[in-house]
Amino acid sequence: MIVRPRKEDHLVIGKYTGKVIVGVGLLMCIPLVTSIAFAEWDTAVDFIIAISACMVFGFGTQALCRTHKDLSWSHGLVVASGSWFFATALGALPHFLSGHAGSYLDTLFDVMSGYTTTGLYLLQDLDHVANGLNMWRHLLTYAGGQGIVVIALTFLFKGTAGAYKVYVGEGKDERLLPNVIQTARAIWLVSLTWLGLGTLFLGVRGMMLGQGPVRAFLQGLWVFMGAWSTGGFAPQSYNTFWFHDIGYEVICVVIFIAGSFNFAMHWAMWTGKREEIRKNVETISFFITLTVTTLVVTFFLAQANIYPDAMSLFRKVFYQLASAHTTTGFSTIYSRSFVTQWGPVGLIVTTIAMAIGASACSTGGGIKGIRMGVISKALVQDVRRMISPESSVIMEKYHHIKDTWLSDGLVRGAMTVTIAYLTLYGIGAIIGAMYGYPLEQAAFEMVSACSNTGLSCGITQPFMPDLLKVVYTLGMWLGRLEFMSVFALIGYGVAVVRGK
Amino acid sequence: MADMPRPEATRRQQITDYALGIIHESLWILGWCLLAYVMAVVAIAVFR
Repeated sequence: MIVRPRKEDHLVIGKYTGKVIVGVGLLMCIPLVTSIAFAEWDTAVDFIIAISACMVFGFGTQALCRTHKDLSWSHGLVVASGSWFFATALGALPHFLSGHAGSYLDTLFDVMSGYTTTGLYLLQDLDHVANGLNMWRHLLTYAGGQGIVVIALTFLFKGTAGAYKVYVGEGKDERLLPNVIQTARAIWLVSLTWLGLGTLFLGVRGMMLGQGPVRAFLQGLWVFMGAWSTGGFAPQSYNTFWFHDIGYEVICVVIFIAGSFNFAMHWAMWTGKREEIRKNVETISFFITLTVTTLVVTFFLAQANIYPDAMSLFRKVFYQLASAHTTTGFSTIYSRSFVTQWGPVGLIVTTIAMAIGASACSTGGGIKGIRMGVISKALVQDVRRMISPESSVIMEKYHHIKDTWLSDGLVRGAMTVTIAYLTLYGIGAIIGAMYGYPLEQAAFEMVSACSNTGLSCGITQPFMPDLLKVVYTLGMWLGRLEFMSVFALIGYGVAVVRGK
Repeated sequence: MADMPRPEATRRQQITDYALGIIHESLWILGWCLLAYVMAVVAIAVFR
């Protein structure tokens, strides 16, 4: 029997969703200040309207939903996915009012892409977007990378019991410190320190390339946000290809690989456990799969003689594959080059790299390195059991912050989420193919959306079918929140309608 | 009391740890990129 949620359940969900939306409104003050600083008055008005909408919704919901009840696990999941939904709807207002979007659906696509750190976009005339809106686009992806709920946890939530449940609902389930609020603050400390250093390096490099100081540091900040969050947004339509500079690319690679690491691993490294990067199952898994995919594509493109020398070939292949594997989405080739130059092998290997994705509890998406590590260890364990005497006890363990023995429950959990991702990738690829796109290209684009990567082989365009825009938007949302909290939201809706 | 670390010293140690952590992470990534480059060049040379 499905139990219909009681009034108290609606109130507690409404109250905490309202808090998160107030956080989104406060976040919009940064692009508002940017607009004012650059005398972009129309853009400033757009942000004032959007901030007002967030505040009315956020405070209005909290006023209507007064309760002292704390969050349960199911409430936490519903608040996390519901907050992302409303944050997208309201966060899209500045995009829509800017006049750069073809429709409200396009803006929802772009904002969901930002929050989920995907990087696909439908915004038109990107090279002439106002600084305020560009700041909002990149801030969306930076904030989304840490998690919208992490922002609210850091600044707006009191108490920790319920807060942890929302935090888990957002797809982050590791405590860097015993207290979840302290964990949220540690995540911000890591991100903001990298923000300062990354912007400095990119800004200085931009100036060395001839940009003025303001432009160099502003673009450095935006490119950092796109790289660290593994979002892949950049202020130019040519993405990081626009810079044509190996120095800029090296800095970006360091930032987006570091951004794809688990926050727990960053914290371990920062607190003296320097061997963690070498022992962690996620980094081992990531470095092995990235090396293998790079070597395969390098070999095939060398055969095809696409690039003039080994350095050019490696530079292009490694950058695109590292970007794909970390689910960043930065590129230094044209979208259609994946099809016209890289061919089926390049397209499929890049799709596999995107599908595997980055680390758990990071800014990245995809199936995640830890699940690949657990599944690989389980495979090794089964093979060892098969070739060992029946009486022998074979146990495998993996290292992630601490050593953990492999259990059936862990393997089942990893397999369940992996199958969910593969099913989602498959459904989207078939829908794309039904619209007439070649299957491998449809699979590439769907995997890119659902693993929150953002590389495109040319399908994502403002004139693509509306249903495909909706499918990709839902795919980004499901992929980022790792299914469970979105399923909880759907279950909540069903319980409201059909519960007794 | 005399054995307790002074708060400033603890903070200084903490900042040093953070800085060393970032440098270690960055160098590890760069070193691995270099290794991937060497492997790719060898792969091209061997299989071409």
